[in-house]
Amino acid sequence: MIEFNNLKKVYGGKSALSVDRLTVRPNECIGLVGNNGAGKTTMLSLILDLIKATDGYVTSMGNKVNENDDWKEYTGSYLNEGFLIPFLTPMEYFEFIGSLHGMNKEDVVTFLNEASGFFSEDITVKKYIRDLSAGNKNKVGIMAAMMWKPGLLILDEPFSNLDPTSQSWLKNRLKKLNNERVTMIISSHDLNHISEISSRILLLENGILIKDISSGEGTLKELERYFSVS
Amino acid sequence: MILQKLLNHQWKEKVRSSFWQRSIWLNILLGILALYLILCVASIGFLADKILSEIYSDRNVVQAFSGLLFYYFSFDLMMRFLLQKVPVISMQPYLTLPIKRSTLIHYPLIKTIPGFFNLLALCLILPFYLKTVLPANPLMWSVVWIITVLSLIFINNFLAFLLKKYFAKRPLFIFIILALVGVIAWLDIKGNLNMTEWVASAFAFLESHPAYEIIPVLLALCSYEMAYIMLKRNSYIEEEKKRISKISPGFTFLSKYGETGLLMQNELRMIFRNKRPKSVVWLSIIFLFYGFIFYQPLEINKVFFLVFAGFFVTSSAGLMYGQYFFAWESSYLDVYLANRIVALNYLKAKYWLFFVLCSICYILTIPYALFGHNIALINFSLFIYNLGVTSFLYILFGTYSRSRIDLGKSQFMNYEGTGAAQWLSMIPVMGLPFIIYGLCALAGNANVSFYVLIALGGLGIIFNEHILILLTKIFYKNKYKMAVAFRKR
Repeated sequence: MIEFNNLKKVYGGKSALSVDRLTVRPNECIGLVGNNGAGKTTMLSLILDLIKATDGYVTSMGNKVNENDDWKEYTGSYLNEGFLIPFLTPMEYFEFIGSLHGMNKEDVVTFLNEASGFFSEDITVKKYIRDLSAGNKNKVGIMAAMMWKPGLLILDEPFSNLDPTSQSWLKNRLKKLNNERVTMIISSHDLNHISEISSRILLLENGILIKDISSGEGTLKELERYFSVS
Repeated sequence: MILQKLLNHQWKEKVRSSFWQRSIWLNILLGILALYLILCVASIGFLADKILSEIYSDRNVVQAFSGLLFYYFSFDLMMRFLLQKVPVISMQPYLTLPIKRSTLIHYPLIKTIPGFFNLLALCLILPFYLKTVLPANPLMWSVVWIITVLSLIFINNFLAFLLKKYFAKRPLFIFIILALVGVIAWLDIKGNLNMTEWVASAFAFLESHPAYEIIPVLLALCSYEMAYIMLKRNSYIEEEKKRISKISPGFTFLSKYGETGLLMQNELRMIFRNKRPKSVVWLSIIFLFYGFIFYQPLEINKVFFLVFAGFFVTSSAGLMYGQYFFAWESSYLDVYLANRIVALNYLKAKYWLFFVLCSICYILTIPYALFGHNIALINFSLFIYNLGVTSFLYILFGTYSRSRIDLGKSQFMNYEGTGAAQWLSMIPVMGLPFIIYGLCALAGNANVSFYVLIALGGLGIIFNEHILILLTKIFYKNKYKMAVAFRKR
């Protein structure tokens, strides 16, 4: 589904990402792990054509993402607060994103009712997104990305700033989506969650793919061993 | 010790923030402007005795000056209200440290005393004082005078903070005060209400009864105390009740017009729900009245002024909105980049909003045609030109925006978002009409230029979709650099 081809991104002389070849197959759930500065966000930004590659390219369903906008029809994403429109209420934001994908107000409401385990009151109360807490902002972004049933879902550290109940809800939801044949690329610092959800783990360090393994029984231990400081 | 450390921190904060966010050229420009202002004011103070003795031949020069101080201080207060920054020492990091809370509050207040407006007032008062007041009057008299004036400056300084705190949400307040002072001035000149004489006699009263001098001094201390109390009240974190902004209209009718309508809806919400674009709209309303300044009998025949006025007056709202195309959404551009939005619709939304804003301004300024016969033609031609040429130029230059705008900060003295692109864009945007006029005048028939402007604008409007498609290609090329620049906080 997604292919990397000699992909490189250099910031001021320093290589932020350098991946020769990578293929993401449909229905995979990729967990992206790595310490800060490893290149996770850079990789996700390149897939979403938010930054320009220094060299190489990314293709989605065979089309280069920087030349063809078709990927936007099936890719839902949430990387950071910059993906939210600060002066809209959550409902207005959901309606906006929803209408870009043919959802009307009723569809949005149906979805939100279904997802009521994830939300606190704030989301439906008349408050601008800019006045929400960091955790609630994240929730709005994540929900908006999932709401219209994308074929490809890209999330950057979705579990950060979430309370334990919400984390559990999200984890289960992501597993469910993967079973419903949604391809996912999720980055996280939470090794527990990520090894539970993912079918495949990509480990980045200094922009280079160090590990590319299928997730299984011993994956969590392997990751913990890799990251431990002794 | 403590005070020294605080000073050091404040210095660091200043140096590391807004000063450097503006480019060095902007700072030089502002520096020159400030210097110019000081020189002007100082020379007025120096030459005041000559000027006033000519105008008010019947009065003592010092009395006349004292009377006029009413207007100076009213104006000063209004300017302070708009431009003076409320003293804030970001208290939170210091609150739990072993620093007396009162120190934390006194410090920023005292820091405002050597401020620009106080400096300016001194530049006006001191030359006059030294040259005119001192030599002509008994020492006691002069001392009383200067104490009174200094107290007034002091009061203005702190009063401005209080006013700003309580009336900042209602800029209408400023207009009301402006109107009030204007009316008083008008009546004064007409002779109906002698404000200047009244104030001058108040000064005279204080001179003859020096004991009452305690009143201005007390008022000055009061104003400081009130500012202190205000700052203290705001130093408790819980007091920061999160101001939950009232939800403003959603413009939902636009969602019927497809993706373009949806995006226009967002733009309108952006304008009405954020401090900065909202104050820009207010500003543009003021611009509508520019005509009264320019369409005076003196200038009515100078076409240059008419064109200049027409350009702004007919399209002020659109121009102010268009100047920061793309920069407005700098904090959420990624929403438009990562989501399923057709770039053409994105640009169309901007174009049509510009169109609507200009049209509203034009319709409101049609009555200006009553001032002169050629104004109707000039204004119409500039309006059409703006719709069909300026709009696209602004979109083009907009893709070269490289600095982020914080929608929550006020527009006044806010240079966020102005970069080389904005300054350079003014040259073709404003220059073209004048160049065309100049060329036609050289060729013999100056009036043809207006028809040329209408033709150009008309073509732009007719072919807007084609032009916008071309602009989308440029947008695609420039979006990366723009997005990277916007993401930098």
